[in-house]
Amino acid sequence: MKPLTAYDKHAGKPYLRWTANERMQHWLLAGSFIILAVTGFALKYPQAWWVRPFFGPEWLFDLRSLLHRIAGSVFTVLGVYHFYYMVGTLRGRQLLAAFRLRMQDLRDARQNISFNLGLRKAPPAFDHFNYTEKFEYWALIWGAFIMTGTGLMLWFEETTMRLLPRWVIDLLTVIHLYEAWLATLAIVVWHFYAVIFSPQTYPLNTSMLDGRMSEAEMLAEHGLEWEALKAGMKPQSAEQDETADLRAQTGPSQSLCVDDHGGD
Amino acid sequence: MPGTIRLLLVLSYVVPYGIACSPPTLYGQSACLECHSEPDLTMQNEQGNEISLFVDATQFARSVHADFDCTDCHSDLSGSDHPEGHFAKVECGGCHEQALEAYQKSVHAAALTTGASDAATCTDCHGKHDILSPSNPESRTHPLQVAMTCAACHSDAKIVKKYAIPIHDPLGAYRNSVHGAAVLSENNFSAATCYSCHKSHDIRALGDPSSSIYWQNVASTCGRCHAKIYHQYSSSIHGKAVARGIREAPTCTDCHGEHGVASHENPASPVHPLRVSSTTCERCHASELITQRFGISDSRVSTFEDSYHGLAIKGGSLAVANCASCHGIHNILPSSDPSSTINSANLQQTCGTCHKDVTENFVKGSVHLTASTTPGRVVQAVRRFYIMVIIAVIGMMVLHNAADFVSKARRILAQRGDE
Repeated sequence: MKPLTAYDKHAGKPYLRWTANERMQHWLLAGSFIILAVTGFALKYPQAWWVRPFFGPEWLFDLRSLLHRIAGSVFTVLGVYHFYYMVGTLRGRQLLAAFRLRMQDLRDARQNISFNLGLRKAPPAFDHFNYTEKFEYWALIWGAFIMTGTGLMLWFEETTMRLLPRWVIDLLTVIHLYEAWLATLAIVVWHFYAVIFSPQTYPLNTSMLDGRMSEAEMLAEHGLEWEALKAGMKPQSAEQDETADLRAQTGPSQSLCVDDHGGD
Repeated sequence: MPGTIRLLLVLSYVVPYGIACSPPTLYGQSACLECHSEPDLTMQNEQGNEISLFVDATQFARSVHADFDCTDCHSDLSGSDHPEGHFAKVECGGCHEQALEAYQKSVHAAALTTGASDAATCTDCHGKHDILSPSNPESRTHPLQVAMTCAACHSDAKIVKKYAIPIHDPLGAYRNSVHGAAVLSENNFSAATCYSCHKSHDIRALGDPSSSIYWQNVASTCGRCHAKIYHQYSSSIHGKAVARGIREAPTCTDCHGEHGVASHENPASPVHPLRVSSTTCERCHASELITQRFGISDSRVSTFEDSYHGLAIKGGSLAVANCASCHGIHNILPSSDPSSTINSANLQQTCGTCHKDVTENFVKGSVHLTASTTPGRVVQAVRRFYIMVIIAVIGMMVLHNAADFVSKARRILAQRGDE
């Protein structure tokens, strides 16, 4: 076997990072997010070059409205399901624990930035989720609450206006717009960098396609977890189908990344 | 009016003229036409140009003057000899006194006296030996033809330029207008043609306060046909302002255009639901000069365009409200007026035109929210806060990832170098 290097991202044995259920959640989120962004910004910027060709006949505008509401409904139902998944399943509770913000994340951020600026010799080693991933996850949860809440109140604007002062509509519109900008820019700048444009990752982090992450990637991105797995501090299970394996896992000390020798 | 009185009135006009114009017999028609029915008959005029002396006997026989003798009009033909040289210009006014009197007050007559040789006289519009009754569809002055008759000069680029006539192609606009289509394509001759608005002989200049198209008279001119709308408009804020001499206030043509006036259902019309806010109301209600001068809000259009209604209209939705949906069309009144559609007492009904179960709370508060109110300031503060947050958060993300990119790229290049 070739020695593991940080840039040869396929080297080493694969680990299971995302279950099929989680990957489905991700792509439902991605799909509904993109449709929401496109159909939403199309309303706000009707004169934009990428919008103009589609607007004219009234049915196209109505289709835009319908798509936005369908995607919004998918997004909302997914959000409710995700809450259940994170709280109501063992795997979810393990992920939630791994997403918990700790003081270590601040230290990791400081050390990683210092390293990137050449002020430190070595980068910090990260656990299952590093500080950039935790930041993104909680920003997404925050954004989802804001967008779902304001979106529903604007969808059922007649009810909103019967119950609240009229200017709340203006406020909701402003929040919905700028939160959309924040979310979209964050996806492009933060998420797309992490999973596409980062030099170690380019052209794509494929873990959301097959659920797997190579040993080299584990070493480079999640060194702490890799060490723990190597040292046997976290139990490893092998040769299993994803769900059966997850059912077999019991305690909170179970590893979230599972050795998956199916790729060898 | 009893028939006998009407008959007497008609006769009182016809009989004296009939007597005055009864043909003397020096030259009978047939005598003149013996020579003048020859198509090649010409002579030189005073300028030395060859002019035709041909009279088309068939056309003349069809004309309203068919029963007249040549000398009825060419009345300077006296004596027994055929005159050498030139006849005097025919004076139509000798019989058509009222028409002449009206014509003499017209912009055409005025232009003629200032030396505008192209200005229209009787024959330019009515023809000469071929004059037909205006009720004859082939007549130059029948609704089917009259637009083309006027356009012979008024859509002639050379004449329009020579006399600095501001409207350069009224016929082109009229053809596509709702009036033009009705008259020319649907044979609806009660629809407006040139003389419906401009009058016929008494056509006066735009700036003449007695003109039917003087800005303060436009509404009553249109109102001759559109009486109900005229009535609504006259008591609207715009109508009252025009009556008081406020030139900035719109009259019919300021919103609808004039020669090209189109149905509000025509997507090219300035009052089409998708265009009225951005093309028509906007011209005054977003004008710095007008809004400052009259102390009205300058943000009515911009706040509308930022609202869902405004955005949906830009997206092509005909279902949402435009300016007129709430403010009315010809009956626009300030919200303080109890009969205004946006008076607080009427708002539930106005919003209720589209929205279901409109409660009192639904219509409370400003629709055009500006930063001059507390809620407006709150919304503005939230907007500014968000913009700052976006700049700070996304800015830090860019910096963080730029440093990460450089660092990772260096490490990878260094590792490749080692191998």
